[in-house]
Amino acid sequence: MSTNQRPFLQSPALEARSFATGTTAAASATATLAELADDAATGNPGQRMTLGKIVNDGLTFDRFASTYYIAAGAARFLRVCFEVESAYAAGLQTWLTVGLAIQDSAGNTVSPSSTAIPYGLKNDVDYSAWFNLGAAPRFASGQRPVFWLDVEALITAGLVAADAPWRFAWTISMHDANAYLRGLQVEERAQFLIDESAAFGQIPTDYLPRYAVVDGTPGGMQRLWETVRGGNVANLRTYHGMSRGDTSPWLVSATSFAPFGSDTESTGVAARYRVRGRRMRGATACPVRWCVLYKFTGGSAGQTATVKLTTGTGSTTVTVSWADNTTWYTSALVTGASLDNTTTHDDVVWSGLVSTSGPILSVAARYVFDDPSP
Amino acid sequence: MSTITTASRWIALPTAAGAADRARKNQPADGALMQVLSSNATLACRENGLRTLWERGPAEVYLNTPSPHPDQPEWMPWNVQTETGYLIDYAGTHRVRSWGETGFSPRIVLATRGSVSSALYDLVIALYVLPLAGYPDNFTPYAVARTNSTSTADLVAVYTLTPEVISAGARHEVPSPGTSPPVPVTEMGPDAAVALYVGAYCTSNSSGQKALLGGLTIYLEEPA
Repeated sequence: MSTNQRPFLQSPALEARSFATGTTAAASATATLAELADDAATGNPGQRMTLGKIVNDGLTFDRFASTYYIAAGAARFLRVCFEVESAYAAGLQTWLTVGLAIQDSAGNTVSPSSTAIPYGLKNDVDYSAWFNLGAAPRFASGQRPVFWLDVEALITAGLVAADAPWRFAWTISMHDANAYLRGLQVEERAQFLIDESAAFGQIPTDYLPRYAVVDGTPGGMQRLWETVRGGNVANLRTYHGMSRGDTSPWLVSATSFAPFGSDTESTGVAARYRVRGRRMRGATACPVRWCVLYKFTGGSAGQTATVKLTTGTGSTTVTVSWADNTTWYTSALVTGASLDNTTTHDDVVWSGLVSTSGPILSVAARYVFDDPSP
Repeated sequence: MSTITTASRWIALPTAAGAADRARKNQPADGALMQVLSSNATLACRENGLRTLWERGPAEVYLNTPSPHPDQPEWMPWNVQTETGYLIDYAGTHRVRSWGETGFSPRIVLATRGSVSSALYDLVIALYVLPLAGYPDNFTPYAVARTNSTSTADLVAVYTLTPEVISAGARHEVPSPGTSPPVPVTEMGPDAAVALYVGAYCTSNSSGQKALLGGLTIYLEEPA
């Protein structure tokens, strides 16, 4: 198997007339197309996960939050970065630790003790922050450690890419009431190494001047369309990815669709989150899928709750049944939703209901992903 | 002279690696196939770089930027002890690239909706862009939007990236998972990123005259 290290990321310009009928085929054109295909498939991966500011109440110092990811193959590495800050006003030190466990939708789990979870994300390192009033602004007072997660290593450790989405369960253990997490960010890393053993990828040297075009297995011309196609089907955007700590979820207890509490732009009106759908087919709606992390408390057998996602093209729902009062569950990955591409942007709006008055539906994470058609 | 690099629309072909794959083994390559593939790949390079970067839930704001610089976004008080009354947030550090093959830079959009209690006051949102994470100061470039509407109105601040900002945020990172046993580094290379900060204030400067902010989103969109 061959590999090719891309020295830098570029999207080469390739004019349509390079391949005009009657034009002599040139190795430079096909080698450029190989580079372009690689960049389409792996140069702009678009999934990310974010946590906002996470604090504690001074009584319980551990906080839990979840984010979601679909391992579609566009990225091998995930870049993890968080910022630790302190509310102390006089230069006192405080710190926190971060732990990560990952579970796929079939229940396969990678725990913090796994070798696939890097040191520093095993609740094993104290990350400190200082704040000196009047001198160092708080935004610059904390550490910003960076970690790398290897998706292939996570799959080797037991996760299954097809069992999507993967739930990233974060544990933030704070030393005292003044420690807090400013934000946590996970971003797919563009790939610099093209590997023929992967699902797609083109080796530009398969198209050398004065040599025969490589048409082997699995390299060369045969993987050209497969690689280009990866630029559509394997490159997923996270259009909307909001998570709240398990102690401050969005709540709904209405028996007809209503906004989640604290998620309104004015009284009784649900907040609208603007997104731009990927425009692969002009004004045709952009298909998306979504899930939520929920807990259904105070209910009994037979009671249900429903979450609705509304966009410019309509709404889709997921209905869950009461099971117990304590467990957080990931909903099914809802398909059939889409984003309106007839205008410059669309809005994502959430609402929910419970089947009978009394129980409360708590939602701690809401994620909307691409769901591209081939 | 302008040139055509993409039809700006994904053109479907028979399933890759299937019996009808137009690029299957021993299948003659033709100019039309190559044009379709390069058009699709170019479109994907353009569109895949445009994505949502960050979002945050609604908030109430009522404090003005501090005297002697009221209503001046460059004087947002980033070092305040408490964020109550302002919206002050770090929106993360994000990879950015030129828009496909064009060399043009994408725009960063901060979009929300909001209202004030009286038309006498302004609700102001601002997006601050730094090449590296740190904290903004009064020299940090920003884009701003404001409203004095008492009914909920769109607020959209648009920052046009420049090649200079993108290149200033160049980073050479080597993915080296800190696992045990250590795994060899298999790839490396440079990319570029920008750090984003969000601020919002209201010129009422009174907790009795609060402005309402709806959901906030930051996303990348194509160049103008």
